[in-house]
Amino acid sequence: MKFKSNLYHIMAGIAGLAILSACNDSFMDRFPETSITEKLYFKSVKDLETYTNGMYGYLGSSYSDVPSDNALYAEDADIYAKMRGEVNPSNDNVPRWGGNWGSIRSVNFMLQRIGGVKGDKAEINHYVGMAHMFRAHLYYNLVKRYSDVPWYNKDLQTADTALLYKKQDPRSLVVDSILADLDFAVKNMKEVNSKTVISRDVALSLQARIALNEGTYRKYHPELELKDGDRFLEIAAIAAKKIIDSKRYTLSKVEQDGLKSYESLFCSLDLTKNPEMILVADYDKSLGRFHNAQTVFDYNWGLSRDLMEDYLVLDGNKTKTFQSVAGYDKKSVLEVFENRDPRFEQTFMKPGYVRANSLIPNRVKQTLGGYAQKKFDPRTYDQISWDKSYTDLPIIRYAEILLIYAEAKAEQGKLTQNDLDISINLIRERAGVPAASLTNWLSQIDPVQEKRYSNVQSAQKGAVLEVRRERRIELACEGFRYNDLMRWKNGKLLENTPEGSYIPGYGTYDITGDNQPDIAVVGTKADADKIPAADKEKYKLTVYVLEGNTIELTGGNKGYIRLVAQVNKWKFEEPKYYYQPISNKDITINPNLFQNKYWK
Amino acid sequence: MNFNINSLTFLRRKDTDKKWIFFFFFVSFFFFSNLLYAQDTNVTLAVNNANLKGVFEQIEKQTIYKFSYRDADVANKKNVTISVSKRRLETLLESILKPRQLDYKVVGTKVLIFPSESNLNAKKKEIFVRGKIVDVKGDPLIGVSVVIANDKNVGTVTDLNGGFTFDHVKDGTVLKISYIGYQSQEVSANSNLQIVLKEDTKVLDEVVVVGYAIQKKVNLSGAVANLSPERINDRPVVNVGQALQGAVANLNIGVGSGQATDSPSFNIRGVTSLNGGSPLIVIDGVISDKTQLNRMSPTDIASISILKDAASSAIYGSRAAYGVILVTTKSGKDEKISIHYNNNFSVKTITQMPEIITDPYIVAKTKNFMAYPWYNLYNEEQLAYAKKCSEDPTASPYFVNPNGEYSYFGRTDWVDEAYKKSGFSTSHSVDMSGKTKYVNYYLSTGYTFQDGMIKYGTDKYNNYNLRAKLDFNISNNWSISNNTSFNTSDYDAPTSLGSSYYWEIIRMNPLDVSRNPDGTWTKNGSSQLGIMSEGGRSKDYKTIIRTQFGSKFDFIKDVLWVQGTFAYTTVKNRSKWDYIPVAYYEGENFSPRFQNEISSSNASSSDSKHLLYDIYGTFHKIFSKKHAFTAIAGFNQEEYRYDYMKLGRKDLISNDLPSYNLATGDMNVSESVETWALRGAFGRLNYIFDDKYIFEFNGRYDGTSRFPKDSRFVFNPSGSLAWVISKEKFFKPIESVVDFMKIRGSYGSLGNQDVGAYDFMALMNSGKISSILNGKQPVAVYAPGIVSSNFTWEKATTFNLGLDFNLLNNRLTFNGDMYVRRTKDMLTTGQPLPGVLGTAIPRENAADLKTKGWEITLGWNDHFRLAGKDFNYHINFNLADSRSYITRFENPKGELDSHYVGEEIGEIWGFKTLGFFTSNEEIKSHADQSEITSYPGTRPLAPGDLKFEDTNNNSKISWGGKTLANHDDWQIIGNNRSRYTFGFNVSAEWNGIDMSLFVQGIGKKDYMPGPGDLYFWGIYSQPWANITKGNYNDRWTEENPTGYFPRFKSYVAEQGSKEAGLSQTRYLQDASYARLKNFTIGYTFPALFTNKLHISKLRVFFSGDNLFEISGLYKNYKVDPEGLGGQLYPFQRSYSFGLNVSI
Repeated sequence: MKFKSNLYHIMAGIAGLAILSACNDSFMDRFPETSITEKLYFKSVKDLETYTNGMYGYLGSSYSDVPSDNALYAEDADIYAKMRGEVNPSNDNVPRWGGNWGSIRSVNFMLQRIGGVKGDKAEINHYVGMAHMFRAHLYYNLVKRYSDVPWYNKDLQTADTALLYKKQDPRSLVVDSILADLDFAVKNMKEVNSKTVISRDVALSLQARIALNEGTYRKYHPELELKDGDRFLEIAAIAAKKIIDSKRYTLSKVEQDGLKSYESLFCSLDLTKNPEMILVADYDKSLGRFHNAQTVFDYNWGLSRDLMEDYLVLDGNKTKTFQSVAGYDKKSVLEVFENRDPRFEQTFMKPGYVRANSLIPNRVKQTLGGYAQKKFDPRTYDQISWDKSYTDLPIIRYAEILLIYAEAKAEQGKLTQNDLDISINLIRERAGVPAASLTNWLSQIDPVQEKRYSNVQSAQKGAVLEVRRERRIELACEGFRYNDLMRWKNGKLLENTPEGSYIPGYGTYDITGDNQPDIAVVGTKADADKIPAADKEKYKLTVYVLEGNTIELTGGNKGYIRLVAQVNKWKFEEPKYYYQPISNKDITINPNLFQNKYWK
Repeated sequence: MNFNINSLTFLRRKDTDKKWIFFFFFVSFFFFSNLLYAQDTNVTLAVNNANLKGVFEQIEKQTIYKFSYRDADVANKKNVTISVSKRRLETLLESILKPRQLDYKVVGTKVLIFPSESNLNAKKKEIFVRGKIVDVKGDPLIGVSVVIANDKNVGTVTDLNGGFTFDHVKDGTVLKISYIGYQSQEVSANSNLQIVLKEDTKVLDEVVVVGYAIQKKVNLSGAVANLSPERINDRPVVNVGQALQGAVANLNIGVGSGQATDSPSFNIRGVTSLNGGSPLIVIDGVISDKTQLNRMSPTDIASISILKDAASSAIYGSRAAYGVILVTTKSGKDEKISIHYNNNFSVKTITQMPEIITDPYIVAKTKNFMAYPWYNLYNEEQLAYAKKCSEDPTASPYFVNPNGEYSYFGRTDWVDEAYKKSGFSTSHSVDMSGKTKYVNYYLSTGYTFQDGMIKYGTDKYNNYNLRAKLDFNISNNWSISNNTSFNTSDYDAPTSLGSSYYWEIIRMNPLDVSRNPDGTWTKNGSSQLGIMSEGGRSKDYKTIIRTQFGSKFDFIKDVLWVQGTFAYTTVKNRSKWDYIPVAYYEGENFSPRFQNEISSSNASSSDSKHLLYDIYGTFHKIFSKKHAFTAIAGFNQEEYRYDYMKLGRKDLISNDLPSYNLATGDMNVSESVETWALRGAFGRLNYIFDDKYIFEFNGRYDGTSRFPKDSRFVFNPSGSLAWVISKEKFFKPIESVVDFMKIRGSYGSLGNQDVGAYDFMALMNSGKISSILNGKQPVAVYAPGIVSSNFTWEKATTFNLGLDFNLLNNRLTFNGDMYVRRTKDMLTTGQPLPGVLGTAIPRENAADLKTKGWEITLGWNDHFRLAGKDFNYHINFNLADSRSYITRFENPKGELDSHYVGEEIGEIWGFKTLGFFTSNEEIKSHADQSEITSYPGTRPLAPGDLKFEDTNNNSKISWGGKTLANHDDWQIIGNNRSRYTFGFNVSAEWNGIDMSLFVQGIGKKDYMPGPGDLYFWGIYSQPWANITKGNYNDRWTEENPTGYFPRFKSYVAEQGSKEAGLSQTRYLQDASYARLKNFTIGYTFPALFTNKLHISKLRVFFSGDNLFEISGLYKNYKVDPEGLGGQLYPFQRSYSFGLNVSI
C-alpha cells in the first residue's frame, strides 16, 4: 500500500539522520582560530621573545618615597595601619597572598616548556636567562615580604598536591635558589644595545641589588639566625664591580634646558640614550603611555625636615653637616636652601619655582605638612594633568650600582679611598659636591647619623653612615628609602611623626622668595579676621587657621608643621613589623603553611 | 504553475487611492503576488446526466477543493452532462452553476455553493421577524447583537427577555447573531425564531505552540504559558522585553537601564545556575537570541509560548535547560487583505533623580568637614568667598587664586545638567496580510525612533524592521514557505557615554561651574559635559537578517507529514567611535588643556552567521475515537561562526574628519573568531486516551562542540502525565460550576551547554604590552589558565506539578504550578586550592543548586450591559516565587566569602544596627567596635556614630572568622532576590472606549546600598561626592537625634568593612515595589463612520508607561526601584498618543 511505503521511507530517513547525529565527526570539532594553545607555541626563539615581552611589567620604577621618613603623606598607608595596630592575620587588612604567585607561574610556565624550542642556542639561552632573572626578582620581592616562602620551579597543576600543600621553604634555601637563577641569567644572557630592552647588565644589576639587600638584611636582623651576610655583600660588590669595569656606563653630565644633569634625569622626555641608564621605562605621548609623576609635586605628600637636614652644606671645597650650622633648627623655608648640596634644590622645590602649569611662583600647600618635591615633576604644561606625564623613568641607573658597591664594601669594612673615588666621589663630582675622604669619614663621625643608625656594625662605621647619607640623598624619592630602613632594621624611625618646615610663630610669611608675604598662620578664626583686609587683598594671602585644621605646629603656636592625623599614632613593633603575616585564610586552605613566628 | 506577471488583479481591487500603502514592501514580492489570485487548477470531466453532487465529488478528487452546500439548494437542480478536458475550474463551475441559478465562492480550499442572488431576490417576500435568544439553560440573553448578514448597518439587540424583532426582512435573509462569550450563529430569517446560543468554548479550543508542534491547551501535560501580546504596540516601549515584563508568571525580565539600546534579559523561574543560564529563544521555529527578540517588531508577534518545565522544553535539548520562549509571528487570516497601521508619539521624562545641596557655603564647609583630617579642601579666603556667594546669589562664581587659577563657587546641580527635562520617541508599523487557496502572506514594516535624555550631545536610536512571510500550497499535500526578516538599528551617542558618566555626575562638585567667564569649558565642565558634546561620537549599527525556508509534505493528510526548515541568520555589528580633544582652561591666561588629549578613530566590526537545519516527521492519528497518538521524530544540526575585528588609530589629521584613514599615529588591531556546532536527534511520543489521560515523552540526544570529544553528547529525557478530572463521570455533579479541571505532573533532565565555545581548552592570550621596547609596544603571549580535564555538562532536572481549572462558564481561569529544579554539576571553581597555584582554580562540575518555586495565574473574563452597550472586561493576575539553595559546593571550611552548602542564593549578611550612640558613657559600656570603626585611632567613636548589636555577648563587634562555624555578630539580615513577582492587568471595553491598566512589581526584595552607592551615601562615601538632601537634612545632630544618617564623619561609608559602609540592618532597603507600568485609554470610532472612509477600524489612544510607583526605599534615596544604585542610564516615564488604523 502506498501509505505503508511512504511511512517506511520517512521512518528510514529519520532513522538515518539519527544515526548521522551520533557521528562525532570533524563537523563537531571546532578549534580556536585567534588564540594559540601551548602545543603550537614555544617552537622558536621568536616565541620566547614574545613570551618574555609579557614579563617587562614585573620590573618597575618609582617616583616617591612614601611612606618613609623622607616624606609626610597625607593619606593612609599599609605601614601606618600596621603601626596603629589595625593589622592582624585574621582581618582583611592582611591581603591574601595569591596575587603574588601568578607572575611566578608565568615564568615557570615558560621554563617548563623550552624543550621543543629550535634555534640558536645562545639566543635561546638569552631568553631562558631572562626568565630566570625575572623569577629571581619576583621571588625576592616575596622574600622581602614574608621571608620564608615555598619555592617552585615549575608551574603547578591541580594534581600536584604535595607541592601545592607544602610548607614554606626556609629563607636560606629560597635565596640560594634566587641567586642561582641570577647566576644562570648573568652567565647566559647577552648584551643588548638598547636601554629599554633587558640585557645581561640588568641581571647583573639585580644581582647586586638583591645581594646587597640580603647581605645587610642578614647582618642586621639577628632574628633570622643567618649569619652569612658578608657572603652576599661580597656578591653584591663583585656584581657591581663587573658593571663598573665594563665601562659601558657613566654618570650623565648632560645639562638640558638649563637643568643640571642630575635634575634632568628625572624630568627628561628621553632617557634612552642617556649613558647613565641601565634600564629605562620609556613613556610616550603619541603611544598613549603615560604615568602620573605630576602628583609628586604639592599634591598629597611633602618631603620631610628629616631628609632636608641630611643634605650637606658646602663650605668652600669642604662639606659640613646642616646641623653644624648655627640656628639650623629655626631656619625658614627660604634659608634652608643656602649653600646646600646642589642636589637639594634639584630635589626639593626652592621658593620661587614656577611650575609649568602656573604663571607665578608656587605657594606650597602648607596642609601637606612638608616641603614640595620637585624631583620627577614634569616640566611641560601638558604633562601636569592626571595620568598625563610622559617623562622617561629610570628603572636602574648607574649611580645606584656605584652606591651598592660602596655600601657593600663599607659594610664589610673593606672600603678604600680608591673604591670611594670610583663610586661615591664620581656621584659627588657630578652633583657638584666636594669629594669625600675616607679618612675624614672614619674620623669625624656625624653624631646625627650615628644616633639615627645606632645599630651599625662595621669596622668602618663612619663610612657606612656616610654611604647611607649619600644613598638617601642621591636616590631620594626614587622609592628606595622604605626598603632601606627595613633592611637596616631602622623601622623604629618610622614611629617619629614626620615634620615639615619651621614656623616661628603666628604671622605672615614669604614662602616664594619675593619678599612679599604669601601666607598667614594664625591660631583661630578670630585671629584671621584681625589681619587687615587690605593686606589680605594686596598680597592675596593664603590664611591658615590652625584651630580645626589638619595641620599643627610642634610647639603649639610655633615649631615645625606636622599632620594632626599622624601625631602619636604609631608604634613600630620589632621585629614583627619587618615581616608580613600570611592571611589566616591562606593557612586555612593550606594548614601546612606556618605563620610568621612574630605574628602568631 | 503559470506565473502571470501582469495579473496583479488583487492590487487593483477596489479603489486605487490606497496605492500609497505599498511603498513599504519589497519590490521582489510583487513577483509572487500573482499567486494570490491564481486559480489555475485545471479539471477534466466527462459525465452523463449526473446529479450535481456527483459532479462535485469528481472535481474534489482531482483538486484540493472541497465543496460545501446545503442539500436543499442543489437537490432539485437539473442533472449535468458535460465533457471537457483540462478546463480551468472557474470556467467549468460557471458553465455548470449559472444555468442552475447557483453561484460559488472559494474560501481557502473550500468551494461554497449557494443560490445566486438574482434567484433569491426573485423568490423572496418580506416578512416580520420575531425571535428570542436564550442560552443552553433556557435563560434569556440580553443585549445580543442581531444583524442582517449582508447589510451590517441593519441590526438590533435583544431586550430584557431575550427578544428581538425585525420589520421588512426578506424571507430567508441570513441573520448574524453574536454575543461576547458565546459562539456566533447565522440563521435564516423566518417569522418566529427560537435561538439557543452556545457558550463560546474558545477557552477550551485554544491552541498553543509547543516545541515542533501545536497542541490544544487542554491537552498540555507540561508547564506552558502562552500569551497573545495584544496592545503591545500601544506602549511606548523600545523593545519587546520591556513589553513582556510582568505579563507571565515567573517570566522575569531584567531591564538593565533606560538606554534605548538596552536589551532586557529573560529568565524563567528564578536562579538557574551559578554560571547564569537563560531561556532558549525560538522565533518561528528558529533558535534566536535575546537581541533578536528584543529588536523585532512587536506588532509582528502573534503569540508567545513560555515552556517552563523540563518536559516541555526537553525537545529543544541542551540549550533549553532553563526554559524556552517560543515566538510565533503573524500570518494571513482570511481572504480579505487586511492592512494595519499603528503609531505612537511619546514624551519621556526621567523617573527619579537625587536632590542635591548646592548652596556654596554649605557645600564648601561640609566638604572641608568631610575631608578632615586628611585634606583641607578650602582655605579661609575660599570659605569666605563661598559665604559671600551663598548670601549673594548674584556674586560671581569665579574666584581667582593668587596663581591665576580659578576656583569656583557656583551652585550647579550637575544632575540637572546631565539630563534633559524631556525626550521624544515615536514608533510606526504597517502590516498587510491575507490568504488565498495558494498562498498565505504577511508583510510588515516597523520603525522606532528615540531621542535620549542626555542633555549635552544627543543620543539617538533608530530601529527598522521588515518581515515578509509567504506560505505556498503547491498542492493539496505539499507546501513551501519562506519567512524573511530584516532588522537594522543605529545608535548615535557620545563616545564617553557609559557607566563612568553616571558615576561621575553624582561626584561632581556643585561649586564647580561648567563654563569660564569667557565661555570656555572649565576642567570639570569639560570632563563630563564637554566630552559629551564635543569629545567624539560613537555610532553603532546592528543588522540582523534572517531567511528561513520551510517545507511540509503530507504523506497522509493530517496523519503523517514531514517538515523541514533551513534557516540562515546573519548578525552584523559595526561600530565606529572617535575621541576628539576638548579644550578647557584653568585660568584666564592659561594655556588650554585637553580632555581626550590624543584624538583617535576606532572601529569594530563583527559578523556572525548561524545555519540551522531541522527535519522532523509527525504522525498523528486518533484510533477508535479514543486513542490519540502523536509521534514526532527529527534531526537538528546547527553551525555558527563569529568573526570580530577591531582597529583604531591615534592622532587625527583633522578633528572634523574622524577617520582612521586620516590619522597618523599608533595603530591597534585585534581579531577574534568563535565557531561552534551542534547536532541533535529529538522525538516525542504523546498518547491521549479519551481526552482524559495524557501521556507524553520527550527526548533529545544532543552533541556540542563546546565539550571535549569524549564527553560531547548528552541525552535529555523527560516525561509528563496529565489527568483531565473534569472528564470523569464522578465529576458530573459539579460540572455546572467547574467547566474544566486538569492535574499535571512532569519530570525531566536537561544538559546545559551554556559555556564558552573553547572553555575546555587552555588558550594563550596575546596582546600589545604597555611597555615600550625600542620605540614600539610589541606583542606578548601569555600563559594560559588551567582547564579541568573532566569538564562536561551541567544538568538541570525539573519536577513540576500543575493544576488548571476553569470555573463559572469559563469566566474564571486558573493555572498553577509548583516545581523543584535541581541544577547539578555546575561548573564552578572546584575545591579551594592554595594561592601558590598562581592562576584561577579551574572550573569543575562541582556544585549543585536547588530551586523551589511556584506560580499562579488567575483570569477573569466577563461582560455586562451598561447603558445599552456591552461592557467587556478582563482581569489577569499572576504571582510567582522561587527560592534557591546551594546543595553542593566545595567549601569544606564553610568560608562565608564563598558559597556553602545550605546557602540561600541572594542572602545578605550584615550586622544588626541598634541606632546611634548618644553619649560617651554609652560608647564605653558598649561592646568594643574598634574592628569595624573607620580610622578608630584618628577619629574615635563619638555620639552620633552607629551602634551595633553584640549578638553573642562577647563584648566585641566582629565577624569572627567569617566562617559558618564562627561568624560572631555577622548574621543573615536579608535577601536581595526578587520574590513574589507579580503582574496585574485590567482591561475593559465599552461602546468603543477601551481602557487597560497594568501594574507590575516585586513583593519582596532587600537591597543593601554598598559603600560605592553614591546616590545613597553621597558625601558619607567620600568628600568628592555630592551632598544629597537626605545626607544633609536627615542626619544625626544633637538637635536631631532621630536623623537617618549618622553624624557627619569623613569616609565613614567608603569601605565595605567599616561603620556605615558595613552591610547592616539600619540601611537595608526594602526594594519591593509596585509600578503602574502602563495605562492606556483608547477610543474606536464607530464603524458607521469609519466605513465611509473605507477604514474598518480607527482607534486613537493615550498610553502612559511607568507613570507611577510605590516602593519601600528610603524616601530621600531617589533612584528608580528598578535601577538600584542609580549608576545607569536613567529610566523614564512616557506619555504617548497614537492611533491604530485597519483597512
